[in-house]
Amino acid sequence: GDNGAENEASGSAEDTGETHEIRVAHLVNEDQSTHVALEEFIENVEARSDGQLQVEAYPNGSLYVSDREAIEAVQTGNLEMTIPAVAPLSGFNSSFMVFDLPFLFETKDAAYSALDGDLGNTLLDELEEDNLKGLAFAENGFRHITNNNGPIEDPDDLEGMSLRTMENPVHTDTFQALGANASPFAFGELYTALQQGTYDAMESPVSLVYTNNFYEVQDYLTVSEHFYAATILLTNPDFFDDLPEDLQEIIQEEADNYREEQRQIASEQDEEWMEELEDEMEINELSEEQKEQFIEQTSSVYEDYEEEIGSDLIEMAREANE
Amino acid sequence: MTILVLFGTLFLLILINVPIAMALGLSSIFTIIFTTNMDLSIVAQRAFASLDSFPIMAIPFFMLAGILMGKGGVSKRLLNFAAALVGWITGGLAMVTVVACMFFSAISGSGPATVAAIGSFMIPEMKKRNYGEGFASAITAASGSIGVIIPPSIPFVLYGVVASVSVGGMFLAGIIPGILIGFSLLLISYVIGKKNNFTSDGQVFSFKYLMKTFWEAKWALLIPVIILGGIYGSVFSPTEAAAVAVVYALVIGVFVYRELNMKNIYECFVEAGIINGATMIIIGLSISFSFLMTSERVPVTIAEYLTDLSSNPIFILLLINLFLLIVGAFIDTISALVVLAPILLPVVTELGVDPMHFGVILITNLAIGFITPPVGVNLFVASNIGGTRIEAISKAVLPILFMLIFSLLVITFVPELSTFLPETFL
Amino acid sequence: MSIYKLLDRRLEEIILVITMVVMVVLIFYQVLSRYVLSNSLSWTEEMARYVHVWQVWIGASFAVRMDKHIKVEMVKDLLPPMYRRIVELIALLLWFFLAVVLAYIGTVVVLDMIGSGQTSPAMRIPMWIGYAAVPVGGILMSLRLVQQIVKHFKKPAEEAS
Ligand code: NA
Ligand code: NA
Repeated sequence: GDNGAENEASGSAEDTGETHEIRVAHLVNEDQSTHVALEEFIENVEARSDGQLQVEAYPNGSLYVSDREAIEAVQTGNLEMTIPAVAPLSGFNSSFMVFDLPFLFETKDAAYSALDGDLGNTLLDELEEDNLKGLAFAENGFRHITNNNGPIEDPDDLEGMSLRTMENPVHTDTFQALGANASPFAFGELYTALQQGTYDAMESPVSLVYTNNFYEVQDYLTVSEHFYAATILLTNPDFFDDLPEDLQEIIQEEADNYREEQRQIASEQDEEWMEELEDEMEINELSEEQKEQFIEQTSSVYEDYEEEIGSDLIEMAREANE
Repeated sequence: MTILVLFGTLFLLILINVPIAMALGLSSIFTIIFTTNMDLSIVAQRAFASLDSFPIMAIPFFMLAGILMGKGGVSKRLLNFAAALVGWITGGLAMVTVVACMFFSAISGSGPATVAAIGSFMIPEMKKRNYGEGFASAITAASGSIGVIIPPSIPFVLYGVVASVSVGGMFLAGIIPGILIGFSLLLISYVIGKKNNFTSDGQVFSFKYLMKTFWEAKWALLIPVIILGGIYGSVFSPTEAAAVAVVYALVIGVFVYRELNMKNIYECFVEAGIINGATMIIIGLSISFSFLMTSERVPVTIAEYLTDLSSNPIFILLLINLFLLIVGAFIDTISALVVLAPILLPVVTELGVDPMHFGVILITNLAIGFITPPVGVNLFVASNIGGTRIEAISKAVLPILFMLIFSLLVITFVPELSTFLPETFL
Repeated sequence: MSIYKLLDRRLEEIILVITMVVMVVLIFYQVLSRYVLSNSLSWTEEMARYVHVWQVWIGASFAVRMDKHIKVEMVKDLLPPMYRRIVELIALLLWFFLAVVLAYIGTVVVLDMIGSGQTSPAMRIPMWIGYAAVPVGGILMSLRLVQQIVKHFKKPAEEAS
């Protein structure tokens, strides 16, 4: 290539082969598991390719401020890689809406077996038709409810509470079904909105509550595990296919390692940060019976979206719980 | 090479009278074509995505509300009251602008929105009373930059997130520096007023007149109460507050003061739409420019160079201030913040600087960037609202800029101004 | 009023007013619904944002006609009238070039997006509907600039000072 960065890179490469620049953009900060594991991915990919692959990370949304934009950039070939949450992918392929369904996976292991098995493979195949290549599924973990009114033990506790959701109709409908006054709201303004009481409640993974200091403006955290938030390491298929096969192999293998590594760090961080949050917030867990009420009351969401998502996909996901 | 093309074409185009928004777009396009193998479609994508933002919508709403208040008789009464309050002091109208902007800052997280809200009635009024169009727009643009320092502030939230610093703490940290900057602007208003003889046509202070104008302005004075009360009383977000302000301004203008009718309401909406288009298109097209800088790692390189230079904290902070002032002249606040905070913070914390203190320094710098040409959003907004040419404002803004830089130095070297409130209350 | 005059004066103007009204109504309704009706719609904010993007691009086009774009006139004004006219023309032509490029790449992006079928997060409407603001704005701006270039040639040199 005639690109300045590539020339620079080729100087340091020991191989005579062409160097390839990979920019990886994502939204989370450098302490979070997504980035920590990414740094290791970069180190391994660069070392194993003898510098033929030059990977540069752009964390904190410094290159693209939203997942939707970054996915679009990868799709159109303006960006080589991104690690979005899977939720925004449903705008690109409606099958991914399956992950938006409430209480889909009972445990992380169930989620892993679905994502790394038939369900994941089916979805990855579908993605190729949208000019996107998924290399591996990692995670943001389970999402929980935080609020300022009191511990949530029963769907009735959510009644009339103004709750912020992501801009995702399944999420909004889920919390409407639970009786909350749920609506999407811009993430950048969320802290202020919670502080000022524009919203009473929100739902998010532990990492977000901790790294974005939401515990300062939310008093209660309910370990509800209502959504499992996967992430995905995405690349552009044309870019990937144009790489020499040995480099493709390195990337795919390191992506698989990334998946294992990231999930482990994510789970460790969830545990560590949950402990820290215990000093800042009142935390309650749902008993089996309590959780059952939430599941029951949100079953209407499955009925409403079954046709759009496809019952076969939902079935594949649910089987992982067995 | 990329940077040379990017900046070279930008300056050249601006000099030959190409609108600033278009110069940013054109220089990005030339740079992409001639020095990178990126696809041009990125310019169109970013032009949409950067404007696809909820917080940004506060700006057209506050613009519209300001225009409606101006035509609907609100500003007239508000100004009479303001004039009765401080108008008798030398440079009084400029002082009213400063105080109004400080007040408004407490409800708006955005500098340009503050300029839009206050400027649309204060700039014409100052021009009418011979403050000079350049100074009138410049003092408003400068006062508006307090909007991101006094809480709530969108950049403070961003900094807290990016730098892993308590956002609540950042809000508290901004209060004293915000007030300090406000007082420095009051001082410069007095000095410039004295020098140019901005007196008040022999007007003297009268309590009776003050009460009379207060009563006449009561509906107008309710606006900040509703907006402030609405935001702090946990009813709505700044953007929503701005929309409520539009509705309130319409109701007051039509039913109470009876100065608005279908015809001038239509005209207000058109005017707000045009100004919004001309202002926001700068954001839409500057994003590609910032994107190229980020992907070329320009800020990173500069920051690395800076720390190689010296290990003296005072020297480094001064250098960083200089660097940030230059960056703030060209890049929009949000991109600069997101890119620079994670790079510079580790450098300064190693030198013993408090992260909250550094956040205030960083955002004060970028707030000053709102009024430094060529890319100074507050200047653009003030220029559009006041119908003042950008170079007239740029000239008039210089003494004010010096005053702000002086405040910045005070904020830099007296960390307690930033750390006292958060350390006391957190 | 002739058709040309109507298009020249009113087309963008009416769109600006309508978009502004829609934005205010949506966001005001969003506040009302959260408190008074206690039942929020999930798409008000997204719709307001897309309408706003359209407003910006249409407004940017109309701002050409109304001469509201922010420029630095200082250097140009120092030139003798003849050179000033040339510089003005070059600036207009470069600006026209940008508008055409935006119209073109905007169209490419929209066509790509129609092909990929991306939908918006909240309303689930085709994403190209929002993006189309860019090519439409680019086309309108190009037309406005042709108008300005014609005006530039019609304007006698001495009047230009
Ligand atoms: Na503020
Ligand atoms: Na600036």
